[in-house]
Amino acid sequence: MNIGVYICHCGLNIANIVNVDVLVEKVENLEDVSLVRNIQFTCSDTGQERIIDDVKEYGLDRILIAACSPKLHEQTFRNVAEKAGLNPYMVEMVNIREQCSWVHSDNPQMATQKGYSLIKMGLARLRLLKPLDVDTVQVNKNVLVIGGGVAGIEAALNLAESGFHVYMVEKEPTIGGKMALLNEVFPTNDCSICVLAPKMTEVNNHPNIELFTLSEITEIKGNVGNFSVSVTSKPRYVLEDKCKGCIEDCSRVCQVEVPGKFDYGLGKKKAISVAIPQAVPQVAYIDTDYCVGCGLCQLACPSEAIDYEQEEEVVVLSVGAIIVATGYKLFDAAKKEEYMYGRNVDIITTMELERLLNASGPTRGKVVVPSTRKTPKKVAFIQCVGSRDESVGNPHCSRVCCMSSLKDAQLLKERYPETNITIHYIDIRASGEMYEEYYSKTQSMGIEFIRGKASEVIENENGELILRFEDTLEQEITQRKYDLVVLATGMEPTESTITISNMLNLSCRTDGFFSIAHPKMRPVDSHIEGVFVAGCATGPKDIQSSIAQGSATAAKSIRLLNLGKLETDPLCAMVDSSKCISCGLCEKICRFGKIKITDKKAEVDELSCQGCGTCSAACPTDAIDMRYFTDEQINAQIHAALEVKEEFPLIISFLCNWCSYSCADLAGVSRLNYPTNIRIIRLMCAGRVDPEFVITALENGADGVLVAGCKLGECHYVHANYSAKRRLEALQQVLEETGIRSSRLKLLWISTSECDRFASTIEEFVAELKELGPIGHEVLRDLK
Amino acid sequence: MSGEQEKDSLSVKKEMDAENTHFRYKEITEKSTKTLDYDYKRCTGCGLCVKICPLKALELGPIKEIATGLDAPPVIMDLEKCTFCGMCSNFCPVNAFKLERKGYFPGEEQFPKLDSSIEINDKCLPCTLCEKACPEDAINVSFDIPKKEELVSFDNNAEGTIEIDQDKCNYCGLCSIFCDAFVMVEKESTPTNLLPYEQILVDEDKCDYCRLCVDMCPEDAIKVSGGTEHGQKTPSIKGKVNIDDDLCTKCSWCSKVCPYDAVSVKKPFEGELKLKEKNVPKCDPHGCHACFNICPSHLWYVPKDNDEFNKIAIKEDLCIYCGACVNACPYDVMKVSRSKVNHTRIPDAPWSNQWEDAINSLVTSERNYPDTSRSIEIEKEVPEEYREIETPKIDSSYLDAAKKNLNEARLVFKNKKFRMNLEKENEEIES
Repeated sequence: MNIGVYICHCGLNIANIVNVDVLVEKVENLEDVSLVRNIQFTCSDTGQERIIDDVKEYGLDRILIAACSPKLHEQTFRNVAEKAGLNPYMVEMVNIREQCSWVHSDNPQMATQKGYSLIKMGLARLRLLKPLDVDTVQVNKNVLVIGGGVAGIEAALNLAESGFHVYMVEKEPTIGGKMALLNEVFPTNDCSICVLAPKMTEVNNHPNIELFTLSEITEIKGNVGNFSVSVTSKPRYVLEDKCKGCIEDCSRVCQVEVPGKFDYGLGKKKAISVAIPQAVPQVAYIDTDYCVGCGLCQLACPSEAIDYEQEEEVVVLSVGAIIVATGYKLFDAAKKEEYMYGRNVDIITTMELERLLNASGPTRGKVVVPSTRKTPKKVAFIQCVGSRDESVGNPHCSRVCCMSSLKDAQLLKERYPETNITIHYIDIRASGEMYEEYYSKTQSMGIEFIRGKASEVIENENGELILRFEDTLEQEITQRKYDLVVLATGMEPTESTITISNMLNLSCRTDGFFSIAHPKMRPVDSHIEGVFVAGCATGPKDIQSSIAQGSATAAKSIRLLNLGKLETDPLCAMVDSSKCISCGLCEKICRFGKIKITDKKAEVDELSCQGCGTCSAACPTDAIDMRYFTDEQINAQIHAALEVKEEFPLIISFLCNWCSYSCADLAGVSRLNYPTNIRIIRLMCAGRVDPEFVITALENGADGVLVAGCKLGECHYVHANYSAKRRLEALQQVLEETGIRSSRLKLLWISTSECDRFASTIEEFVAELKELGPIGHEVLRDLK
Repeated sequence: MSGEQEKDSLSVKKEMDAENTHFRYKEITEKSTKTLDYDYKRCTGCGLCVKICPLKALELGPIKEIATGLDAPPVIMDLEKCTFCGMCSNFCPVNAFKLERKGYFPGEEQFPKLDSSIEINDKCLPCTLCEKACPEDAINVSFDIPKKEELVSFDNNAEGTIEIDQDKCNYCGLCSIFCDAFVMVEKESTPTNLLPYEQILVDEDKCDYCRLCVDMCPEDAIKVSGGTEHGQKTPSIKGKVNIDDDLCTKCSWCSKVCPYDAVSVKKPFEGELKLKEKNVPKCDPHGCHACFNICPSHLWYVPKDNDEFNKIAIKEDLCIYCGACVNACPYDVMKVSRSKVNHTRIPDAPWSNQWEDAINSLVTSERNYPDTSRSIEIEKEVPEEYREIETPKIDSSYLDAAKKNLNEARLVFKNKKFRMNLEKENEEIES
């Protein structure tokens, strides 16, 4: 073995605290080290070239770089290795800057010693690294868009225009979603369907888009780049290529009247009809809930488009990426019993008001009080119905209802200047572009705003509506009579959210909407590679944001699939079948479903394994190991760290690659100082920590072990830190029962930004361990 | 949608006419005719059709009065609402509704119907019992047996004895079909005594002890001695039982009266018929008689040991659970519930859900009707009438005067120097 070690000065960042010359002297004498150099800036062109030349000249077969955080330059040095002709995974980076020189500036002696110790740990691992190959997989360039609302339409059109073939699956008989049902949209008061219909038509006509309506997804198998999707299309009983969408004949002779689903019950339709006048595709469908089989529509249709024998169709599609744009569902106002929705016809929701305002709605654009059919004289809007409300299980804000009510109030006032309109609100949220100006305009139109929660709607002796409310600005509780009460209902996740999340292994937040990979930095990625989410499926938002996210998911899909192939990540799990007892624990633990028992042995889907390592830590026979961060490598690091116990107490720490390692780096960037007593070992996830590692560490002289992972609920691998918590807390109990103080194992769930907490945790731990004494102290003391 | 219809669009017309006891409702289009025939005398007013009609086009008439003598149709149809789907005709237990379809409609097998049947198996001789017992006169038995006279002519001088073993005789009546010497004394069949005969006698004046009847009797109940040798053999029993499906209500009287277990009846419904004990004292069986009149199975009777709490009784095996009695009874004396509907397969079609719901509603009494109560309808606005506009009259000399001045202005702007200065000025202002 010919190892080359490069100790970086990083200018003065490392060199002014850590004595790099001393390090060179000490490292030169270590086994297998053929060459040690110290370099000003290893990442610079000169530094990189130096390494490449050395590899050629000295025949180096693996290199160690003691410098900054691997999170910064690991990829850089992997590229260097590749250029030098080595396998890129035969490189180890040791962090002597963020996690050494920057945090121990008050103790340069110890910092240098710690630096040496860290390099020894790095070498121990480097000796055991094996070359790893990156495979390329051919990907299918088709994309599936689930949901035909505005977000899905935008995504589909962007993809189609870029030359990608798109399948759009929509469960209703028409695309357009909720936006197609609205009247006008804020803040421009554009006619909603007028701006959407051209896009809907384009989707239907585009040669690159295949549209499935009245269809649902029943199964999704496979992985990023190669998904296999089963779509079931319910029969319309009308032939799409023959129906002209006129519905003059079939609908006219049908004698079964049904409540119009897209008018929310305020209009009547026949059992055979077209969903909305601008439906895409413009084809009729038979409502199977109410058709009685009289057979007249078939006789009446002049194009012979009706086929009672049409059957359900199942199609299997192959796609490379999936965009979930399933939208939202409106809160059922009947759940707020105090507002009497459903018990009195004059109480309607904002969506029902939109349908009344809409020229293709049940009243052709006339807003009337349902019970009297007259123009309303006094209208009340009640905000936050079903939102910001713990009592109905929706603590979230639905974001758009304030603007929506302002818009409806403006439209009502424009059409009926004599009508008095009052909005009863808690807060007015008008946070978008030109939204606040819209709010001012609404006020200037003479619409009244009363701040205070509306408590209930009751009927007086004459059957008229009375609204009881609080007016916080006047500081009174009072009541008023209204003709029409409009409830601004909030958004909830759709029923299909649960089915889709089960099929794809997507996770949902506490509010029920799909969760995204990172709340700030990755708004349209889901936790599953190859699956993107857009629009209200991930939470309430306005149309502009839905369209933006639709475009974003299209761009992400193109980025993923454009080259036609994907590289696999070699950081996966591997099974030693000889040790496997097929207990099935790994299958249960892996929430991504990437390890399964087949033929009585566990098998890993190496192409798509996420690499968290939870299965490996859980396996009772140690049959599972990780290709990079093997058990052997980790044990070697532990032994190397404890070879010489340079200080008391000595803490071995396992940090997860995502939140906790970054947090430790941030502590360095912020120049926080903490005691030198800690030796950090990097793993992909806290879930990787096998209790065996902890025991090995303690047994070789570590006084304490710190395991840090992402905050619960924010794990990069979604569920793995819960698994880690369970496992390690059990270990704590076992240790306590065997006489070792459980406090020697500390668990820390921390997010990247909490570097202060990280530093103070180490200080506390060191103090605790000083009190406790060296490992074994409590055993002896208890014996006495 | 335009107000006028094009020439080749379908128009639907509905008509009704009546003949005898039949109301015939028709739905006529250019391409089809559907005829729904309702025989109001056959109808028992059970109301099952009213329950299942998806558009609430049927309504129960005055059943209580009809059961006690009023001549009126038990079920009234609102022709406007009826869509001629055929649910009523497919589920009427007594076949009072019959739908006939002419035109390109889905076939009959595309709609489920009541699956009730009656079958005669080979154990049937035949004999005379079922025909006589059937309360609806739905059974007709035709015998293919030669009469005794055709085989052996009457021998005046014959002497002998003939005796019927009353214990063995099951009143099948075959002997009486064969030979006039046997006399079956008929009686009314009742729910508790289904036999249509009360006695069998031999008229010895007509008997010549030919002994042919001995072998004919399936129960070996006849003993004959004496007579003369004639060398004739007893003919084999041949015949056929015909049951009129339109008249048969599947009450199963025939099955119960048949001594040979030759009839198997599949009833349309399974369920329970119970008397409400606290209402029985209100019952007036002799004065009212409604349930007796209306029941298609004729299972009601006044028990022998009747008292205040035992005024009326039922033979539940005969019940088909149609529920007509419940509608007819003015005192709410009985309760009928159905637990199962026997029906043919519901094929996959756009209307399967509604038909399945209809069948379930016969058991649960809950029907899924489309709820259009919240719909708002307002009158269409008629646009104002168009009036031709009047063009204003203006003196053309004004325009002519203006034209001169305008041309001067044009020439100014055609001056290049002027324009350049103008634009330069503008630039200065802007900077």
